[in-house]
Amino acid sequence: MPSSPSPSGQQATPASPAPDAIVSSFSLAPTTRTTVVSTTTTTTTTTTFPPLVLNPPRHRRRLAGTAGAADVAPETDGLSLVYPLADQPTPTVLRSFLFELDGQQSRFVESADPRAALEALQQQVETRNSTVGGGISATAGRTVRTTTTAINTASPRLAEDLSAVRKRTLSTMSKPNISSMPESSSGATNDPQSSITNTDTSPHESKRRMTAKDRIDMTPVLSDSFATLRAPESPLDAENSKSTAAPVLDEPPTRFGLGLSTPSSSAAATTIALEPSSSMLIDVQAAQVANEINPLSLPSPSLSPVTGSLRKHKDEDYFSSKPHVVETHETIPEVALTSHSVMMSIPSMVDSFDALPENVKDYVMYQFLRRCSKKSLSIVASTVMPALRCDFLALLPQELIANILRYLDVKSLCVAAQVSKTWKSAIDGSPYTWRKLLESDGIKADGDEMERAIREGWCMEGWGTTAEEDVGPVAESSSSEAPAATIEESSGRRLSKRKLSESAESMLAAAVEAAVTSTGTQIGSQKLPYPNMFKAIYRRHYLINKNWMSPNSTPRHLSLPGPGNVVVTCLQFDSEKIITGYNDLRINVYDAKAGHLRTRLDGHEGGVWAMQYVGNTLVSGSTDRTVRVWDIERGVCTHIFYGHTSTVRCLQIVEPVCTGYTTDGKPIMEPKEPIIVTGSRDSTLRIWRLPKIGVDDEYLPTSATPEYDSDPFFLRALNGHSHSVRAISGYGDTLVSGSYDTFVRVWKISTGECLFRLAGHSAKVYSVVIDPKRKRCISGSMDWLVKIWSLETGECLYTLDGHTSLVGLLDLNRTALVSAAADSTLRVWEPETGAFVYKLEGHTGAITCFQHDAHKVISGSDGTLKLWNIKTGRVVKDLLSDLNRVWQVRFDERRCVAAVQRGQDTSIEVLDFDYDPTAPEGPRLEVIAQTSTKIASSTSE
Amino acid sequence: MVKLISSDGETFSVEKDVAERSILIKNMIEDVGDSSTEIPIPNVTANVLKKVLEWCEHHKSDPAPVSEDDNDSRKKSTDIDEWDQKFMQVDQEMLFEIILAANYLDIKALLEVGCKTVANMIKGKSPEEIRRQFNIQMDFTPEEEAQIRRENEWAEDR
Repeated sequence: MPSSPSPSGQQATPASPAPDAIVSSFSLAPTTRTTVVSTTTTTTTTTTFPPLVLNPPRHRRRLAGTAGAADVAPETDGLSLVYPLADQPTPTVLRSFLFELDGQQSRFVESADPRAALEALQQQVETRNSTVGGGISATAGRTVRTTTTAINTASPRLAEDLSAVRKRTLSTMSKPNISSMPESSSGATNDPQSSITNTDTSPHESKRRMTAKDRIDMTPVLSDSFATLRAPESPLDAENSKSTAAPVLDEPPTRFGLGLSTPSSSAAATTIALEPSSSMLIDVQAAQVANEINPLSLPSPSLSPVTGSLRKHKDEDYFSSKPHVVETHETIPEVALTSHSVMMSIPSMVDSFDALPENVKDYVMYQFLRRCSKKSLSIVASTVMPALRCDFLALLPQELIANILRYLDVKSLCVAAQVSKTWKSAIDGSPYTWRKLLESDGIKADGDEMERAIREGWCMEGWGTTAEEDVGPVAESSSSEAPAATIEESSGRRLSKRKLSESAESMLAAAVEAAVTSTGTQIGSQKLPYPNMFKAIYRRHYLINKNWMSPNSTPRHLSLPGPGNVVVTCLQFDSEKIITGYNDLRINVYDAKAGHLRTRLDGHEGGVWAMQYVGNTLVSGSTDRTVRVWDIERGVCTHIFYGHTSTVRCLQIVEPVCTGYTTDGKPIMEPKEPIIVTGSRDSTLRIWRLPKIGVDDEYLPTSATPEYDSDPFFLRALNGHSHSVRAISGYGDTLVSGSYDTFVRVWKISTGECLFRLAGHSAKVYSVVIDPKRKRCISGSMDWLVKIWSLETGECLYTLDGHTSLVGLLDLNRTALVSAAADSTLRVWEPETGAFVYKLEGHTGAITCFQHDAHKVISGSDGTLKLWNIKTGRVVKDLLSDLNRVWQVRFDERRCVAAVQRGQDTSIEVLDFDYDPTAPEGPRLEVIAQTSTKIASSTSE
Repeated sequence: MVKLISSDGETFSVEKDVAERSILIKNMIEDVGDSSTEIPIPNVTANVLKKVLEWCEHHKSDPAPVSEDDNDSRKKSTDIDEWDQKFMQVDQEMLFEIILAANYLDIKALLEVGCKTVANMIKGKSPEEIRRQFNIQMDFTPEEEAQIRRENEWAEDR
């Protein structure tokens, strides 16, 4: 907008061109106000106009205490929200620019420091005043005055100005009451003020006051058009200024009406000189004094009527005044708008704008915008757009923030957490967000995991204290104490507001309890507040996975000697124990941490070929045709189930899961209680109720009683297969079995009914897996094929071919189906469509064992244990090599456990990937001495 | 037709099935039992309500939302259909208001689109770019900034 005067300036009357250079400056109050200083320069001389002081936006003044009769009252605290730009510094592009004023190049400068600018002007005035005949320059500074005096002297000064102009003699005419700096206007301090105020004598002042009325007579001479508009103004001003003096004073830092005079003889310029002060008057009085003043005192012919009428009709629909606007525009001769007058009218324009009702402002703004070039609009846009930007994470309610965050991946979340304090606490302290991420990776962050995280002091740096280590390394991470404290405060607040899940509170209680009970290891460690622990847990898992997938990983390696030259038929482990079953009758329970043999479960009279444990209850099946149940802790057999007439080849503990809801919303749990399903070479399957260790009576029949019906745990036998049952897989009430009779059968566990006999394979079925989510099952066979069946119709949906030998193993998770064959390859399939994804090629012998998850496949063959990236189908590294056999392999989040044979000896190799990848000390290989069941570790490598 | 009154007093007449994209309005209509009554929407101004109703109009015949798997919806993060993308090309202030309005009016699909739009504005940017994107003042000391960077380093590249 400031650049727009030029067009109208070009149309200005020929009266204005001054022989002398013209300098005009505009200034407004500091900080909250905009101070604009405008200068016009010519070739040789630079003359600066007295500053134009633009009042702060109207709504600010109202806040300061002046009751406005106007429109929408903005909320005090929401001020910057409603007026986002109100407190923003003027954009650099608008702070200083060149423009043309009546053919003269002019410069518009907004003072960076309004206070200093005013002071400078005051000093200018002082020096000029001390110089006799200061002429032109002397007038420059005299316009500075205080809020109150500005009102009082407004009219007189103009008169004086005019006469000065006419006579071209006045050097020290007006008494510049320095309007102090805005901050101090209410009365304080200011040397400059006093000095300047004293430049003129009071007699002078009163004299000038007298001349005020002269102005009315003079103005017409100078400019007819203005005179008519202004004539009534000054008497009113004089009156009103008195009546409003107090309110003005009550409102300290608001505004400074600055009269302004020009050195030139330009009539227009001179006339305009009054405007800043008069417009100020209008403002002050708007609420309290007659509205009639406004139209009259407003300087700009085109604007003042508008403002005036709008003010009158403040409470009316703005449309009613709209015709008036148009009319005014038409009736006022353009010629009245000289360049100077337009420039000088800026303050009152702004005030007028301020005075408009909100909706009218939109209109006027639009009118302004309509008159702006693309360049101007671009400036507006670049100013407005940032102001309309919105700090979503600081402003939205918590649940909506969580809703946004759940669409971000880890990387984006961690970048976003670095944006600001608000973002950091919103992201780091959002259990919902991180728990969701953990869940999507299949990790449960509650219970044991949370307890461990708190116990070991997991945080955002380093590795915390692992249970096996001392507290030493944690000291390092305490450097982040300060930010952590901030987080704690804000997220603590958040947690109380937000209930992300019902379990959160109880988990919190559990976590706090855990923290309390494990204070021993806490000393010196930096503790994250509870909500932030979820991110720490996620980070831990993320880094562990990174360790897994790095070709340069150096997992901690523990080697447990096995019982010699035997076949390891079964393997299962958790963080406490590793349990292996052998073909030589025994079951060994190792301590997973120390590595020693904890217990041997002796009792089977034949090789153990099937085994599974849940909690403290282990179930095993053997060539001795029995199924045994063991109390792992005590190391004793508690139950023996007879019934099978040949080797128990496979078994599964099927635990109750929620498979649906009743009509009244109760979850349906199937099976009703945990059961044992066994498959045998006798071609039958049997189902037992899983005994509750310590609750159910022990059941240890001494021999294979023919009346096994007396067995209190036996539920039923499933007959149908005509050959050895090789594999089973159950979920809910559905059981799938694969048999050497080439058929797959689908059973209803609760009734024993055979739902389907799936025919299609042409050779022995070696593996089956149930896919409850898709209501399907998958089978692998010696006919080299993998088949996907519908559990609803019994149809074969897909046949996956590619393997060139017996498909002995299948594993399914959410994202992939993997098959392993005797052709020394594994294949990755898309579980939904059965589409082929990758062939994992690299082993040299039949695949003996494997497992996979969302990231990797670990497979064992004759000589090596390989780790594959399931997303690329490429081998990451050989985890173990130079082996004779890899019997079994299992892995969990952090550990891989493999039962292998080196030379004549079996051993259990534990690879632990839960280590700080940045730790200086590399992991070690520990070998547990074979002879002892106690801890006997030696460090080597 | 249903009459909705915005917080600033403007009246909007819309078809019932358009208005009922909002579960809040749907329930109100059901409670009142008379769709001809005027329904005040005290939390939404006219310009936002207009925009929201424009969305509802376009989506009035969408099938009822299926309760989708959380993991699936995460994957679809950048999936915003073309019309919605265009619809969401508004200044951030408006986007903010739309999200609040969708939440208040209980229009799940619109809320999701809004949240996805914001998420997409965050994705793949540096902290500085995000600050610029949302006009956020960086309020960390250099030390804090370095510390926070270290704390988040683990998720970089992969």
